[in-house]
Amino acid sequence: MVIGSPGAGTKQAVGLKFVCLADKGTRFPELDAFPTSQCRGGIMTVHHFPASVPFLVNF
Amino acid sequence: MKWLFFALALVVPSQAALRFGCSTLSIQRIDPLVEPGKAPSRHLHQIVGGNAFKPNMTGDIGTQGTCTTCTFSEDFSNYWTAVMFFKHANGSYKRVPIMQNTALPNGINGGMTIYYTQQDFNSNGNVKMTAFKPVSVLRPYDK
Repeated sequence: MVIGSPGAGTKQAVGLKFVCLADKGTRFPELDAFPTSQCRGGIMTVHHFPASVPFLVNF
Repeated sequence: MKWLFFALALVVPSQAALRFGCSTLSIQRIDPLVEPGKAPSRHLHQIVGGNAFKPNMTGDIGTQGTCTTCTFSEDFSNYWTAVMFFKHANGSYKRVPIMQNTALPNGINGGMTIYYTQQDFNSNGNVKMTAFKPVSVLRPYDK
């Protein structure tokens, strides 16, 4: 359940991912760390439970 | 060769996943897992799902509600995440708006998209999904 610190700028946990959206339909890539540049379509945060399961969602 | 056709049908991998959208139920300083019973909690959450959500939750919440902000009404589970703020150069904080998933039908406001998947799309895996239990150890930034 521990999935990171609010001020973190680096990878925090296997299960916590971010997608920098070019538009609302962008789904990849899933980034380990919070985006450092502007994301035109916003930022999608993905929480994977359990974190060890391979990531095959985002449809 | 009818038997061969049947045998082949059995080895076709089953593929299943569940996806549904949930509108924002509330944005509150409540955290039934990290700080059960404490209102307000130390940080803010966006909550979606059933109307049984409260600071101290026990038992199977999925069966306790009567309605939900999710598009499936067969279950009243809750899901919640942290809420993000933008820190302005002048030091002030502004809550970042939450967008709905563009791939889902219209009518969902903010909220989140919930996925239940198999271990991968070709096997069931052996992962049993259960609700999170309240935690007793606070992380450094919870204090």
